[in-house]
Amino acid sequence: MHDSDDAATQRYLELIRSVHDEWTSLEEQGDHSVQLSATALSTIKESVRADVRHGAQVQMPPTAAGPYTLSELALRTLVRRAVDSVPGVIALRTTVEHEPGENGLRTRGTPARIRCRISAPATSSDLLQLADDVRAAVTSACRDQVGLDSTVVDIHIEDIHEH
Amino acid sequence: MPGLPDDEDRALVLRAQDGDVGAFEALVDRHQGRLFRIAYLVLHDRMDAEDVVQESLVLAWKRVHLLADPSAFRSWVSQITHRAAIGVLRRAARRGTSAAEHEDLDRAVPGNSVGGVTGRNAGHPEQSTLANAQMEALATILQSIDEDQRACWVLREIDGMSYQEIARVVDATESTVRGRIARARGHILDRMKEWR
Repeated sequence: MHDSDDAATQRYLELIRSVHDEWTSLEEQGDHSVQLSATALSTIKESVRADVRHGAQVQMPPTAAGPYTLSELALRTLVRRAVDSVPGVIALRTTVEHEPGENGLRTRGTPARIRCRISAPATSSDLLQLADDVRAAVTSACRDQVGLDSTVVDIHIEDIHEH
Repeated sequence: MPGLPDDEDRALVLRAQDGDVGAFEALVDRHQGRLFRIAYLVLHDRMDAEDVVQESLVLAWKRVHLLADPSAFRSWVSQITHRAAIGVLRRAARRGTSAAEHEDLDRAVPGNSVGGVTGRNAGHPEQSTLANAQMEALATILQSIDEDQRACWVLREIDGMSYQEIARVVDATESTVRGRIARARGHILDRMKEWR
């Protein structure tokens, strides 16, 4: 009785192992039968991009031509690219504090403070200097590209990465 | 994105929370196969599994800013998928139809069965048939198990989650989860004896 139970358990474990091995191997090789179809993947990505286009707006300092707004996504992208432009640094999440808004729920006020969470390279020997470089990059991008010249930029080094 | 290690979901999640669509797409690419595996073995229907994973990942994008611990993305997105799959089963049960009037993996992709032209069994049809038969036999047995036991078993044996994680995902106690998995194992073992 015990022998037959042991044999059944052994077969069970072999089945699980075999299904795992086969499925993982097929997935790694890009076999279409064990994962989402290209159409389904593309639908997911299109839905995500469509959703992004309907995000909130952010009030910006008025220009000589009049007031203007920027999408929250565009502002975050600008900040993220500025952070990524410092060699070795990876932008993580950015938090923006806004002045009180004046144009309804979908429009946030002018950015008053931007907090950038970043991952620094393990090879960096001077993290204070690195944080200053990131702050300078973000401040300069905000000033030069969208006219934000009084926004405070805080840098928080959250992670250190090896590669 | 520059120099991001392959195993770093956390950074991708933080960037996705920041609105970086590219980072979220990378998370989709990394997790879709795993989520499809869970959904397929719970539902045993390729089209339903694909719909569930698709809906779950779009929902994950809409809610990713609410995820307090970015390192928990894996179990969080599994939870969304699990709930969606169970929802499909329950709707099918209410309608009195079987969610497992299934479409096998290989039938859904004409000319490209499991272990097919791109698989490692290409040129070895006997191995492909065996692998496919094992997967389908397992998927068929799972359909005869109570849906809560089945979901817990899939999360444990197929997705490799800890009992604690599963308890969180299925909103049950850890001892309940252990019991469900033990019963599912017993059932599978019994059914495997009938194969002889």
